[in-house]
Amino acid sequence: MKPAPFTYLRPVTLSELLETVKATGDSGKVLAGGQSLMPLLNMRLARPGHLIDMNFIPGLDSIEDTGTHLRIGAMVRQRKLELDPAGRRHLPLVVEALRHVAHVQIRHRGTVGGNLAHADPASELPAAMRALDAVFVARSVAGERRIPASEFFVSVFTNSLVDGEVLTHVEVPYSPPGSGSAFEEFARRRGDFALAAAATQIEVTDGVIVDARLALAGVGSVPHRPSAAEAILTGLSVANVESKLNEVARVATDGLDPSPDLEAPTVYRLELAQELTRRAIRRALHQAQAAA
Amino acid sequence: MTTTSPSFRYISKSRPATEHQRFVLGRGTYVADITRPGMLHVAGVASPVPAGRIRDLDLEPARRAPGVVAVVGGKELAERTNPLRQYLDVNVIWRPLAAEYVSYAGEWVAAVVAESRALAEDAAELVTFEIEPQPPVMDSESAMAPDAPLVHPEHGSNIAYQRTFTWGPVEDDFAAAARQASLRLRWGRSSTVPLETFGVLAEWDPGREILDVWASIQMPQYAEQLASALRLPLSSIRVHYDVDVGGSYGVKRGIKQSVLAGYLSLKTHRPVRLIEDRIDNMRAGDAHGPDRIFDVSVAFDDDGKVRSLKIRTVDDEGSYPGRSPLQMGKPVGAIVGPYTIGSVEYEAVAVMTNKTSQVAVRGFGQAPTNYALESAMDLVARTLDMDPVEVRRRNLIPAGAFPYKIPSGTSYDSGDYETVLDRTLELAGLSRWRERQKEVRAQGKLAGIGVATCLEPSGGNALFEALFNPKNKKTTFPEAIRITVDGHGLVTATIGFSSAGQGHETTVAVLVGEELGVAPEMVRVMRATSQDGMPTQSPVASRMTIVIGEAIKLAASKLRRKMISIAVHELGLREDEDLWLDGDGVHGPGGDVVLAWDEIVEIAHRHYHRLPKMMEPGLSSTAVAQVPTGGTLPTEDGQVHMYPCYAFSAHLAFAVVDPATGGVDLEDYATVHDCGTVINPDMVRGLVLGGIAHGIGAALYEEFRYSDDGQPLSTTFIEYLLPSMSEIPPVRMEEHCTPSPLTSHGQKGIGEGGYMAAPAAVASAVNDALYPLGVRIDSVPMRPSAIRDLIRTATSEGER
Repeated sequence: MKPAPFTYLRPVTLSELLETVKATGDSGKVLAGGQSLMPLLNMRLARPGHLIDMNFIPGLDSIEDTGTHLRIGAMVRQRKLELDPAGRRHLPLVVEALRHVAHVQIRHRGTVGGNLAHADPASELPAAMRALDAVFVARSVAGERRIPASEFFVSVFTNSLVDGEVLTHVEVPYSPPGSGSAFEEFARRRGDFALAAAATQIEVTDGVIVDARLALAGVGSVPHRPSAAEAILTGLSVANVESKLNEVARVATDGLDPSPDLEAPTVYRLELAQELTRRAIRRALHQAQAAA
Repeated sequence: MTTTSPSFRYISKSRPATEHQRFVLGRGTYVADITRPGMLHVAGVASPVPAGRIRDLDLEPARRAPGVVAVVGGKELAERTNPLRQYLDVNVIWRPLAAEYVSYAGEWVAAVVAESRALAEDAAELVTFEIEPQPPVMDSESAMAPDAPLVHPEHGSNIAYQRTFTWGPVEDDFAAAARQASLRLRWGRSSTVPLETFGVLAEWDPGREILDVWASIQMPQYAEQLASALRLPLSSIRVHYDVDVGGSYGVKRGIKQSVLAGYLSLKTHRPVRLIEDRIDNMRAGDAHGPDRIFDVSVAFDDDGKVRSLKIRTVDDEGSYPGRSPLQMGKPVGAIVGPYTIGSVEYEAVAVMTNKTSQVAVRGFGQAPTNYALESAMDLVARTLDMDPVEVRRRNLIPAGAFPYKIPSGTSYDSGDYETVLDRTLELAGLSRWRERQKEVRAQGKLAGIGVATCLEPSGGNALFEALFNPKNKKTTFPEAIRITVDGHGLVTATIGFSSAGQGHETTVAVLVGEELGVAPEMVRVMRATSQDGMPTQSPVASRMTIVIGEAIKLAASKLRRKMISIAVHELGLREDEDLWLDGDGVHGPGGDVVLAWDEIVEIAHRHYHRLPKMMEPGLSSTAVAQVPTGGTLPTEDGQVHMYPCYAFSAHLAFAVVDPATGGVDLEDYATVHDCGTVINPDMVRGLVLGGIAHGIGAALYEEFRYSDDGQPLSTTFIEYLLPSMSEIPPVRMEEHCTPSPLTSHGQKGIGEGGYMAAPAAVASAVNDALYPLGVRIDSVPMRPSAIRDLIRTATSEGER
């Protein structure tokens, strides 16, 4: 478990980083918190010729409050966002999702940007960002590109960044007043990757759902955003949700065929996703009503 | 704590383990902390497939790689070393590197020695070879079929061992019993997976012709096996036991790795260190545990009394059986557990498959057997619709029946099982648990209360070696101690083995302190090398406190007599006066010190003119103890007196099962254990708690799995799930004390019982939770997906 040989590069400004990424092309791999990449290197499953360390680039480790969004630097450690006062006030879904990410020690090193760019479909943060329609900000020597969450995740461990691009920020809109959110997960042990997880944020006005957002992790090659299930919920009066919940859960997993693994055969994983969907919606609604 | 043991000065008193301080401060000295000048590193070249002949092995490109000093293939090693030891009478050649054919995926076919491990791994990728693939044998039952492909063709069968033992009138008892019931159980392939993998550093000194070995080892006769395999005189092997071992519970027996490192050092004349990485350890470390199928039949009456038992167990040993099949032999010494079962039929079958080899794991096979026995007791209760606790109570050996000889020929030394069981029920607060069970059920979840008892053999009279292989006549299982009072009056106790976290330095200091009447803090514990003449069987089989306790008692008594003799001579007293020794000196009949400790030291070390005539100068005493009750061989019909001492414990577990996810949450756990005299209560509780955590892992989480085509699927901690703090419930715990009449201070072993009982208790709790649905899970680990399958079938709610 020693990495294959690579050249270690440590740019110290953003422009130097972008030039390095461009110059190394396919041979370069960017290192953020290293919590996924280092094991891959050690097991020789990833064999980049150049490892480009982002940890010395200034300005990528802050959380900026724009008044409507939080603009989170790619190098913000997961634990920092989890404890951030603005994060806790405005992004309760993200903060709850983070509590399921591995263990505190790992969250102190793992970064928001690294977690998202790694694009693990069982990971929590991508599902939360997908539910909230976060915007992913990428930079290259050519300039900035803003990528909606719906387009960022392409497949297992594959994002839509193109050659020369680095994820530098993610912009997440405030959760609206009168909304409730919940992140429900089932994992074999505390801190494990989810066998399945459901992220939801529901906005209620005068007893009626005006906006319902749902994303599932662990059930496909990317975080799954079941718009048909959201459509059933939207416009529904809160009192009628319970009777529609099984239908919502079923529709949420329609068309999914997650591949079986050691811990979760396909049928079981779908059942979990449906149950977690029901639980998340119930809890989010409860919270929304309490807020109202 | 209930205690009927004699009062002690230091024994049974709470005391932090002295060695734990260096462990928590990061000041331990593990094998990876030891470096030698010019040291080289090893990486293995692993077979990608589980079975087939090796062809066209090309080592040359790797030999030319940067930093490489040597590359060795299996054939070279086979020419220069002897095969590793097999404990069964089998025709299986086991070597550190496969020479002719591979027998599991991950098996090493070559080894690269380089200036760093990273360079060795780089070069290992350059070794090329072909394997003519053969269909692998991955299932123990199909491996027994006459037409199954052979893992080792030279053996002629995949069955390494098969014998049926019959103790007592089994068929008569089955015929006479009012009822019978049967079940089939599966114990998944789990193990002890310590934080520290196996590591070894070997350094050949060609001038002195000594091979120095530092290793993360917990194994009897390690030096002897190294000498045999490396074709060296035993006197040229020096194993250093002052190496901290970062966890073991049986698995640290890296004989393959050690012989390889030793050979590579002999070849290169440089120190060679081999530290397994996690993949090496999980895929090819010979470190898996039992992997069993049980078929159990039980004959019983309407009052719940069990008359007889039939157990058939098929154990998947993996490729090289080594010592692992003997793990079906140890349970023979406690085959009826704590119960008055009158007769037993026991069939043990050891099967070879294309998996990495098994090794000794905590309890040496008895955790799975106890799971089978306790599952049978639950089955009796369910069949009769009786309380599972009550069924156990009715079958317990009564307190007045000791020594109690079980049908297989072993005598239990002492116990008070019913008292311990009752106290466990009180400690748990069973009526409170029943209330909680109703409450959980009212919330739409399932809740169960599980019970298990456990009889824990200790002392290590390892006669399963002779039972399973009559050519093996070994009956000596010794342990040695040397106690020295130095020229400054300080006490040093020297032991001849390494420790893997069991706290022996504290145990030995307490026992020596007790015997000499000096504070344990004043006793320094040191470790000899294998060349220092200290016979040892190593700390296996929960034996150390028993056997070293006896050795300490013997050695200390000689030393005491000598110090008192010096006082008698110095003061002109009579030998038969009532004199006694402690750290202050020799006390007279009135209790006053008549000759101070320091004065005795002065005489013994420096004033020969004051010593009794012909007395040796100095104050040093060595003793070697044999395991109590040891020294007889099994009879031909399979009667055997196995271990000397038998601890007992009762365990209760409270499990909540989420019917929607199949997830199991252990909410509560209670246990009372009786290991006789407790030497150090803090350490005993640590052992029990660790054992329970380990058992919860086996019950719910841990398994080494393989694909049908023989690929290992659990090679990192992503797939092999160890429970962490979050998965272990709070454990209520208490000691009871029924001293052993056989040991120096009434002590018994306690290192394994938590692990033997917890899987059975947790399985019992999960099945109690599922009972209202009419389903039962009979395999461990109990995965949520499997539990959910049962619930879905039972409730037919899959259509929701």
